[in-house]
Amino acid sequence: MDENPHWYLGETGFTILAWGSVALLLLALVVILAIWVYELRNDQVW
Amino acid sequence: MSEDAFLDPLVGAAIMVVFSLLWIGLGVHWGRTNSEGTKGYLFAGRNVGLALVTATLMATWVTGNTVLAAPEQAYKIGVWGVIGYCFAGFGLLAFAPLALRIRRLMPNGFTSGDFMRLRYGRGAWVPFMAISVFYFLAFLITLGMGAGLLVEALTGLDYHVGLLTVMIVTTIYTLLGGMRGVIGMDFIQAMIILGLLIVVAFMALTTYSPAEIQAGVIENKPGHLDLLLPAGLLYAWNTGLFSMGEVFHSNIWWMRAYSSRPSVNLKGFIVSGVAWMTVPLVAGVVTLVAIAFPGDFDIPQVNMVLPVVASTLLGPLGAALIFIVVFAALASTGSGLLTATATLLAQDFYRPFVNPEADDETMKQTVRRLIAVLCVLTIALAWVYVTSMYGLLLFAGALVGSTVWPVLCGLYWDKTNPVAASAGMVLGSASGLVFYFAVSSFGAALTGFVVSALVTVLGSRAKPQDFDWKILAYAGHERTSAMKEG
Repeated sequence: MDENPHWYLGETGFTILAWGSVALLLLALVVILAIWVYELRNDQVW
Repeated sequence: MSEDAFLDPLVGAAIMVVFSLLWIGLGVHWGRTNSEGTKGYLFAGRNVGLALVTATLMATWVTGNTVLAAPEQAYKIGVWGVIGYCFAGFGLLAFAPLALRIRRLMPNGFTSGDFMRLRYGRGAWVPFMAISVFYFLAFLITLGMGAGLLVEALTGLDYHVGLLTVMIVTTIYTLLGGMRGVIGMDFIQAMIILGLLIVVAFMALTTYSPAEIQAGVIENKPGHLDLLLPAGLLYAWNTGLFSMGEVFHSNIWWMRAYSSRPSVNLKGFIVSGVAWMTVPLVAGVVTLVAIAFPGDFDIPQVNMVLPVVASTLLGPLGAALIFIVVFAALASTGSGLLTATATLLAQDFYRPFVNPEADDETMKQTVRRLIAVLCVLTIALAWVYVTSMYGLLLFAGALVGSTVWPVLCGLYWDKTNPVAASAGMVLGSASGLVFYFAVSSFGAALTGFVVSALVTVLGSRAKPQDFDWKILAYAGHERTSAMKEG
């Protein structure tokens, strides 16, 4: 008999994990590009 | 040729040709802007901004494994496979304050070996270099083999086509562009990796809603969504510690700390660590579609689960997108490895032992020659695929864990004793290897980490040293004097 405790990720939790991870990935891309544009305008890329 | 390939070999070859020409062309472009000797060639002027620092750190840490092994773990373990793989990002996050301190203490430093030599002397430098060089060679060989295998599995092209293309193209643009070319290319490759993964993830989550995926996984393999899975917790913990060992000693990250503008060092490592975590997270979550709807996906081998999902959802376009992501990940890691290893060999072996009076131009040419030699050596050693070579990298993991505390204490604690640091690395590595062979490869890095911590800290408390931090400012200027003193 399995006596280990279990805590299954529910529908809401999984939805947050799935779309949240995609949103984070998109945010990472946008942030890096935004910093690059800012640094490009201010001659700070290199 | 493999009959299970996801992409037409001609399309695969066309993608490799187009991207190879693009990268070599950009290497030529960036190479023309290198005009400051080793400062320009090896450290891109030592003033790289936040965007490029973040992108190069992220792209270098995203290997072919991140894109394919993270989904494999998700497929095998479930949600903890995804989260656990993300813990490898802690290596970059934990190194952030160290990078800042490294840049402040050694504004003109070249390598991680510089630090060991000046901070502890030859007694600690020898085991540190032995560990570092072994790790880099193992990493290069497995990267070459990984390139051959992945190209073969994804396109059906021969193993040697992938090996030769990735190694030769990477070497050419690294030779031509130097660190400026490597970092510039890493930026483009990071954008490719992030952008294309978003497309694949968006398509997957709009075809199958997260609610449908969750319900399907609960029905087929409920354990895959168990947040209290003991094996998952252990996997995550071990991955985090292993990544710290891989990052702390590695000249790849030290060279990026030396290259970046001091004001962006800390932020660059933190942003890249978080950004990196999103890659295995997204790739892993998408993969759970294959668990929820097993009838829709034919998985011939578990490490190919993401290409299968992508090509099933998006057709040949999906397979092409994943192939581009993998090709970019392999090239960005390869260029970082080649530069870091060649610089380590030039600064820590060639300069002190072969040519103590080597000037800036001689060092630059030596690094270039060593990059070419490493390329040839990697191709030769990876020419015949040997499964056990991957064991070599895990074997190296048992060693790198023992370098974390000597690096950490050496950077922050002036009482750290050189003999204790040296003994920490030797005894930590030895105990890690004993664990590796006698028990399992799983906790080998952790064993080396713990033993080295105890030896380094207790030994230094028993016989504390008073180290003058100003000595480290000689890094990059000294020739053989420090070595002789050690």
